[in-house]
Amino acid sequence: MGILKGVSDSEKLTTRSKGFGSFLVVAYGILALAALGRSFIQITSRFEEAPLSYSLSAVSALVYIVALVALLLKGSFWHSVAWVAISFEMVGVLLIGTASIIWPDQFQHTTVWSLYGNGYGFFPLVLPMLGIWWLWKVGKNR
Amino acid sequence: MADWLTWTLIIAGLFGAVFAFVSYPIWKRPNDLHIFVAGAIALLLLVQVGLGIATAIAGAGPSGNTAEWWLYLITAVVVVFVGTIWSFVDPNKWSLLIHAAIGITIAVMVYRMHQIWFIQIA
Repeated sequence: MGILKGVSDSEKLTTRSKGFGSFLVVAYGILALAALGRSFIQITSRFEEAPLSYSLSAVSALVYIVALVALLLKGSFWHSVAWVAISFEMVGVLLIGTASIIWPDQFQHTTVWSLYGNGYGFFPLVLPMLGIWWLWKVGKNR
Repeated sequence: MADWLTWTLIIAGLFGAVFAFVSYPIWKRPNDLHIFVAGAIALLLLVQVGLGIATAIAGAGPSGNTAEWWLYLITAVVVVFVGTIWSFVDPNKWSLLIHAAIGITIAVMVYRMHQIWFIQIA
């Protein structure tokens, strides 16, 4: 037993990507892929239909990628980058989520953040909360 | 997109998620059984890749956006492989949550692929 024993290498990991952080890395990885793929399709096939929504999709994809990288890399610089990216994401999902309810005609073409991420099971709303809690928790033990 | 494969994949994904949760009190961390479950899901996805290529050669395809459908499928394959390997870098209780997330993600993505194939109009 122990097919993947060879990949076990927790000493190289940052505190941010250990324990609960390792789940956050996967969650950000999946959302980054989903948002990146979605905005790629939207922008290449029908950008003129809804430039605002599709640009927002691309921005959210970038934020998820930055957060993912910042969780994985060592050093206090990347800790700060993670803070900025995840805070931006929190503000983004709240702003866009609220805006998409107030001005539904501007957001007929969905983004990851519209209606607080209901297209993704509200995960885009929950994830930055978990991220902020986690950065606060590991930040205290640094 | 074959119905039997769609439902087998959705059930396999959901099973993987449930299995990850019930594994916690027993093993506390993922083991070879979780690799077998992820491997079975990966194998089914690769069958879907093969069938997708065969369908495309035969001149058929999804009713919705073809590129979107393939992007979902490729992303699903990447999520299973990379997620499983990542869960063994530092195996602990949270790695089980990773396996649960992989299973749910695959089930949702395959369901979306089903919608793009049959329901969505390009």
